[in-house]
Amino acid sequence: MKSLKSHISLIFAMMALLISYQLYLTVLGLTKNYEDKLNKDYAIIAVSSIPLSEKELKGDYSIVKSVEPIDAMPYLAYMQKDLSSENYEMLKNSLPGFFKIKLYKYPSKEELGVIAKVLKSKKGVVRVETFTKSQNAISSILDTFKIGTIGYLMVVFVLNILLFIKFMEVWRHEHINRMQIMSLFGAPVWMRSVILVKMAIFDSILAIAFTLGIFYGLSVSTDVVAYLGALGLGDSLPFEPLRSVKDFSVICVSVSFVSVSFVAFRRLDI
Amino acid sequence: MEKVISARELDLGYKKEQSVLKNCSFDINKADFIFLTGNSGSGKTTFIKSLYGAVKPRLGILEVCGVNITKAGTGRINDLRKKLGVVFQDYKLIEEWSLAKNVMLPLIIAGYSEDICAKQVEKLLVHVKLNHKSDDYPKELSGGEQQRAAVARALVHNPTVIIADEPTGNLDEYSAEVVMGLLKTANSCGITVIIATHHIPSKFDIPYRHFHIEGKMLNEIS
Repeated sequence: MKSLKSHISLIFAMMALLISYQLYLTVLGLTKNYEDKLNKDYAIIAVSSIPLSEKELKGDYSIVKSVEPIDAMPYLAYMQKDLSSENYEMLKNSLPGFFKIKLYKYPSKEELGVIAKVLKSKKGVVRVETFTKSQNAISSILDTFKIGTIGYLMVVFVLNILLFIKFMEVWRHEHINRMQIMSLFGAPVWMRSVILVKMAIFDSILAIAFTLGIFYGLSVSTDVVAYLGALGLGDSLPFEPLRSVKDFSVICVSVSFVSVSFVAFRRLDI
Repeated sequence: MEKVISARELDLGYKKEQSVLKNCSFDINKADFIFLTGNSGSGKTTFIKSLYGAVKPRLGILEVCGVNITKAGTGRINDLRKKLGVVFQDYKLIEEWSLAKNVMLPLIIAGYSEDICAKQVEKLLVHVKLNHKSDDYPKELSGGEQQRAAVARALVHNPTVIIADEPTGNLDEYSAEVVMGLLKTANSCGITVIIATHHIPSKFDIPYRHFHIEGKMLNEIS
């Protein structure tokens, strides 16, 4: 019973760590999904008397994805009926080129400032419209959400670490008698700690399996998918099982190593 | 005579505290049977602990089974402990292990195969009359049975020295006699036995040496 309680406590403590880490990845994934979605509809508009070179702009700024000219003919055709043919011809000849600049990622306020400056310095560019006002508002909301969530998860992570330290004390208390007796008969540290290592490995595997199960369940849940869709956060929960297994294993091995060392290498008063 | 333990101008104590034992010099030979007496708090346990390296000498030299305790690191101390059998007043059996596994501990540490361990433990448990309780856990045994198991554990790996800290302190007269009998038998097989105790049994029929601690000094009483 004591042993079962000890296992359950360790599994819960590990799961709490893994869940907060996976939530961190999920929040990053969801905000990225949202930014991608925003980016799909976002473009900078530049007005230039000479054509803008896509190659040159990409060289100047790596997040530039494409530069496409905007066809002005439909707008001219719309205005043609209200203009004389001379005026229409004059307008047509004097009209500068309009360019739609698409980016690889949704830009931050700072990135947008830099790219606007680069564009304005180009020969022939007479105006650049970055839609700064609405873009800045969305960017700020996203940043606040990201920082807030990450901050909260960091606090959870730190609390979990404190919980672990407390738990290690309990562990030490539970095993010290056996370790002291083994030490009296000359058992080296690794032999005294082998049961702790086995326990840590076994409980880590269970904690990883349960946490993966929870997030896999959420990722295939139609309710969750519908909810994300309704919020405009993509059509699936960002969850990569293989990456999670790898990251979870690293976290569990690190935490187990520290915990076992904490118990195994503490002085035994015999 | 082959010296097993040797001390010269030994000074024992704990950090920042006064010495518990001062300027002790003695030799203990193979197959000696030693009684160590002294009042409560006189330093018997400190002395016993120093023999298995749990208390390091402050000054002087203490050599046990060829290991200089003063200078030895953890590895050497572990090697030394493999040659010793230690018995305590509170038995120090591992609660979550069966009696057989407890007795097997020194053999497991020495790296013997399961077969050898099982055979040796079975033999010893017959000797201490606990073979019918090999699967029981320490909590299911009486104090006398636990102490017999502790003696069996101390003997199982055929140690050079058995160190016993008040092994009969918690036992009734009959159990104390049985435990003392086991230690005498071990001694007759050439094992050095050192027992810290308050009283030397009145009917003790084999030759022994008597060390007494008084006023921080260890003296041999002839």
